[in-house]
Amino acid sequence: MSSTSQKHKDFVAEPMGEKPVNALAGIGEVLGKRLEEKSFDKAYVVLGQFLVLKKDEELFRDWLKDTCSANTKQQDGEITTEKATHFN
Amino acid sequence: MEAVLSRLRGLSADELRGEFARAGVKCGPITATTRATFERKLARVLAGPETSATDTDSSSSAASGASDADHAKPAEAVLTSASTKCKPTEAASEELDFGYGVGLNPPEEDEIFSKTTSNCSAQGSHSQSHTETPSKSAQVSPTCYYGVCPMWEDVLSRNERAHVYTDKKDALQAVKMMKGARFNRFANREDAEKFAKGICDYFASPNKSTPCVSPAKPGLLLGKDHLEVDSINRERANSFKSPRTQDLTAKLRKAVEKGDEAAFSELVWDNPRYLIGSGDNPTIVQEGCRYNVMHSAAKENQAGIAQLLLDTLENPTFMRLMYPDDQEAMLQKRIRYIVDLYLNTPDKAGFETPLHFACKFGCPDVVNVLCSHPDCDKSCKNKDGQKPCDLICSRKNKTQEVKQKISDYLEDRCFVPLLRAVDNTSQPIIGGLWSPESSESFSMIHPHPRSPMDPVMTVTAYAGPLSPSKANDFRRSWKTPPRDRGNLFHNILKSDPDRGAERVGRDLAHEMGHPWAEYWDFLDSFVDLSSAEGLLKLNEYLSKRDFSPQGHEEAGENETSNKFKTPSPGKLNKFCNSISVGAFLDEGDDMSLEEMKNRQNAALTSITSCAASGLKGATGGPRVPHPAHRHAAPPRGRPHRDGSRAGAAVLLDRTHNGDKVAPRTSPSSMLSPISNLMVEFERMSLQEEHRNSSISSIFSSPPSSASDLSTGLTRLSLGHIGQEGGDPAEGGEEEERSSGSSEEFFEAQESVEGLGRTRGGALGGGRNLCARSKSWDHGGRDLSSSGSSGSSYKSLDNSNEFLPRTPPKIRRGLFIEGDSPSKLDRQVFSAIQGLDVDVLKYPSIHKWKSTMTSYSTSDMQSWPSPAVVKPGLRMPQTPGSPARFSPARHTASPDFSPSRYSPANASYIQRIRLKHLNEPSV
Repeated sequence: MSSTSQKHKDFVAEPMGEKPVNALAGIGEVLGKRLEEKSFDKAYVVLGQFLVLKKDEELFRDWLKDTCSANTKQQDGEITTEKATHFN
Repeated sequence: MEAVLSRLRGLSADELRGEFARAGVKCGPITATTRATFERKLARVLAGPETSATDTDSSSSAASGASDADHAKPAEAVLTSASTKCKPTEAASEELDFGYGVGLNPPEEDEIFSKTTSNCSAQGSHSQSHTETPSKSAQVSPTCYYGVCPMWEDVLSRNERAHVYTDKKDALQAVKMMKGARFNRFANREDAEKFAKGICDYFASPNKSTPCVSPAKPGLLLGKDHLEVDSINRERANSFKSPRTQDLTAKLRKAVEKGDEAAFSELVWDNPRYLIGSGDNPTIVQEGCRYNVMHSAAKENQAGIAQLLLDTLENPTFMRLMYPDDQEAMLQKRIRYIVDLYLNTPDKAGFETPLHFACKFGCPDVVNVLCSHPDCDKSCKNKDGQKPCDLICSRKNKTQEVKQKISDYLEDRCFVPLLRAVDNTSQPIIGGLWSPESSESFSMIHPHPRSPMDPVMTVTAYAGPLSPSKANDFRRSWKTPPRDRGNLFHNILKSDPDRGAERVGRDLAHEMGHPWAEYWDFLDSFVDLSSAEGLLKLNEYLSKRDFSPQGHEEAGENETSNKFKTPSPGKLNKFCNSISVGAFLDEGDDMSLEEMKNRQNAALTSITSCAASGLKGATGGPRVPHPAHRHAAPPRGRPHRDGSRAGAAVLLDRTHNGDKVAPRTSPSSMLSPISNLMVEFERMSLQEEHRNSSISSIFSSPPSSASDLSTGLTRLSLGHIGQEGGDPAEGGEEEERSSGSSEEFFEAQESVEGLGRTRGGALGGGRNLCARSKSWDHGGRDLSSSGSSGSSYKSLDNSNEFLPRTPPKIRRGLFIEGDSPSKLDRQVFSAIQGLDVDVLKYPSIHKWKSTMTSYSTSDMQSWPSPAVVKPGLRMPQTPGSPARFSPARHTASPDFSPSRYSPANASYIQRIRLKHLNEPSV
């Protein structure tokens, strides 16, 4: 699991605020670009999607793959991030 | 509209986004849940402004026809229930949602709801009215019962059936009829009945309007009283309401993040609870992570706010707002407590202190503010065990210089202080490294009182804050200047006992680019005059002087302008100076005889006190000669002063009777040619040599008792007013009693020192005395005075040459002290010499500087030092006093720069002093 990556730590260490979507662990330049194209420009929008999918990891993974073709590792990173953020 | 909508519905997500872009409307992510909303929004925009509200309504209802529009459900429900047959179950379930836990007064929505459903409620209530009995129809099954409980007495007095309803509306009506009644919802009828009869009281529901439900009425009243007392107590503590969370997060945090200091202090001073939460904890301005104001300020690089926050918290007035009745000590404790919390509280997310934040986000200014506070913990660890120094610029501003800056700030912040005796009787000491943290514990180690022998030391200048290594370097080069310039610095040190060490330090600090500050009496603050702040202050001061001629007069009076003032502007000296006749003559033109006499009397009394203090203070030999040297000297020192005054002084000296003073100090004599005066002066000194020496011997002899002292004084006054020569026999006696050494001096003076060179035995004596005292006492006590007497001798020689050129008194320029140039002018001038002063920015400095530049360097050498009315005890004498947070500290430094925790802040001085007197002196 990539739950202890520095990026993840940095993300969860502070309030999400207006952080851009590529501040999420697992979302780098490329995926961030793709998400932004689909108007998921801020981290909180992605969180919103996660919530709309009723916090269902499977659905969220599916959605991620669909939207920005993220691989499993990336998905893992993001999901843990989203969860951590949400339950913060 | 419909057409547009249907067209949009046919588009793919990307195409729809394209449409949005074309229309110039922002759109969020298009997903299954958001798509319909966005479509409608776009359709409305595309359809144009002619679409009316009803249109949108219809469109929404049309959209609600679509399966994915479940947001319109409630409206739809109402509509359908209104149009179709009334379904009581649904209505009931609606009511169930609305009515639960509602207090006595039904909320507005209920009434609205009852109105909207009024058309069907007729049938509904019909169908329900017969369900009051538990018999249930298939459709209409009352899922709940409403029990209405009237006031307690009412229950007792009225013997009617229990108020139990199945319809909430009925229950509400019943509640309205009975004043102070409550109602609650129950799952079964029995409970509802019990409640209605008041058998089982449900306290769970909060019921403010009926506080008297409980049968235990007296007890309740008691409790109420107690409550009131409590609230009164709290009222007295302070009358501020704790702010709402919204205010904290919205107003306060916004102000902090924007760096809006005005808004911040307004909020905070209006209600101190914005900063001080319950239990004196910092308030939380960001929920979740539990940030306080300091965290937010550090995160957003708001150094100003951080400093303002610390200042506000440490201001006792602020704490007083919160705790008006606190004892001073308690208040100090509280302040320390909350300041500590603000500085060092970790946040909830990563256990990081504000310092972590400031380091992480690369905010050197905030790091500076935080680190300059002695209570700031620099080695706190966060969740991952990292200290602030491990995190420098890990997130933002990753430039090398910012990193360097921050790590510099994080190091210990040392100051190199310069210490001087208050009366300048000893050599200035360049203190060891001083940092706010280390000095804290120091006072604990040395609680012993200082001996009365030790001169009182104060910090007069300091360089810093610096990192320890830099501070060490600086200190070394200050103490032993670099070889190539050693001579120059050595000269400065020797020739300028007042400020030599400062000048060397100043030059060095500027050269090395270190911050520097020295104490200027006339500004009453520590500043670097060559800095913008220093110039501003100086300009302010000068312009104030420029526009208040009255001030000149006042100061002029103080300015006794005695050359011998210079060596040791101390306690003794001050009094001695007041006797110098020259002081009386500063305004000699219009002075009446009475005034003169008065002043002479005053001078004599001051001698008494001076001598007394001399007795007290001087425990050994070294001090005793001082009075002699000074008292005898003034008349001789006169010639270096500007001509007219010198003349007057000589005249006065020659008048041996006070009665003659007035006529002699006429303007004509004031303006008489200087050369004449010089001749007269020389002649006079020849004649009066004997007299002078006897006077000085009176003074130089250590008076063995108080009575002796007083006779000595009488004799002095006699001699001074003009009993020629005094009583020879008495004088001889005194001389005999005087210490052997001083006798030696007088002999030496008489035989060796030529009149032509010294113009007076007493002066020679004085100088000799000093020279001798140097040899007596290498301990440093008299070093400065001896050295300076040497220099004053030098300048005496110089000044004789310049005397004719010295401008007469009429000249009026802008000077720092008095209405003639003084040594202080020279000192300040040398401090800002290298600078280009902007005329527009600092007009007064410019004016003053141009005055200064009109004098030659040698002129400046001859300027007398102004009479120093030393604030003397700038520092608190009691080492244990809680001066750290005393108001004095705040008034002393109204400008809150980070250097507040510098050695200039007095209470530390004592510790430094103790430390340094225990070390081998420089």
